[in-house]
Amino acid sequence: MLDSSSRSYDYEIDPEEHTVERTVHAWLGLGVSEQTSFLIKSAIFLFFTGATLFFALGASYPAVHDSLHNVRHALAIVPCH
Amino acid sequence: MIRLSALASLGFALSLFVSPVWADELNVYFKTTPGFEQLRPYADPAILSLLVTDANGRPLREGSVALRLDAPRSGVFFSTDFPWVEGTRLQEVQLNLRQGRANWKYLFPIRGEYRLAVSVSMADGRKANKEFTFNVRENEKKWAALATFTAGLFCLGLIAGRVFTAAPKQAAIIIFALLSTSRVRADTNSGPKDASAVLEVAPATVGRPTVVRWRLNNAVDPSRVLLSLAIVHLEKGKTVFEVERIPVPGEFTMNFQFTDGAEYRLVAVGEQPGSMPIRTEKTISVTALEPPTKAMIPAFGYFIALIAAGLIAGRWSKR
Repeated sequence: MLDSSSRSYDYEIDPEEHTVERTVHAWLGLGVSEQTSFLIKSAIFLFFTGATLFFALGASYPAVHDSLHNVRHALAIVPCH
Repeated sequence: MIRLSALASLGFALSLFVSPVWADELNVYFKTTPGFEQLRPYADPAILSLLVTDANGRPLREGSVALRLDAPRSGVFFSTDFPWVEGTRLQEVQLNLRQGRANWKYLFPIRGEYRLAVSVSMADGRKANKEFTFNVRENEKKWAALATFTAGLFCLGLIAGRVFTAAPKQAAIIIFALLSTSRVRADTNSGPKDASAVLEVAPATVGRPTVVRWRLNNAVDPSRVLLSLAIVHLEKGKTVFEVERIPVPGEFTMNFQFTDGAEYRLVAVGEQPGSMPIRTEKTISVTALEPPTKAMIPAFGYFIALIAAGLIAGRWSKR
């Protein structure tokens, strides 16, 4: 288990969890606090959800627009053409 | 007695008209059916009615009204679903009064406060101007849909916030960034190549009024022509504008804004004494415009802020 104090993973104790973190830690040697980790994950999550929302409700790509045209109008505050 | 009851009936009828206007000698009343409270955008077309009376309350026999309808201005923060329509001119039309009345149907496109400017002209040159304002509320179903969507986004953030939050004392995680992400189709079955009537519509674009012109050729008596004109939104199957059997001098012109980038059908029927009605039809495709960025930012900012609030709530709930 990677811990800010231990500075290493205990592969035996935590064999399943935090695979990505362990990999990156081994690869780059980077370690951050839980709080920073939460912020980074949240930022990435917000970026992807925001991009998805924009693609679904704001993009003009015809196939997407036509499929979700009624949804855009149904939400009252989402602009459409 | 009969006269008294007639006056009482007239008084009652006038009391139904919501907004009276007192020009020097003319009174102008305006109402909608259904009433203002029941109007909703893109619901059913409303009947808009004007009544012009003289100082004694008698409807004018002759005269015309020039109408100008303007769309609600942009909201403080959120846009409507038709941002290009906000604050623009929707209609500019002149209608002849019949028994002091002018009626037409209209489908309001967005929520907000509309402004209707009326200019009455009498045959003897007298004029009266008045502006009416009235509010069209948003459809309650849309607010309910928005509330549901809002709750869904918040819950999404809440769940993510809980997942991203490690149990107390179980910390330190490594992350590396992984972001690698109007044409006018003259359906010139335009009527009837009917040599005797022409319906013309200029190329239409959302956000700008378009000239709609109807003309009867070879009219026997241009002063006795009645025109019925309807504009139908084909995708929604709704009539967005309609006038029925209004007297026109052989031709009719108005500025009309097609508020949605979709197909519309215009149907005009001209009638004159002693002849068959002349039907003219045209289908047009209205050029749509992409919503302006300034209209999109508040909505998407709001959605992302909701998810962020959910993330914080999720983290808070787990710690």
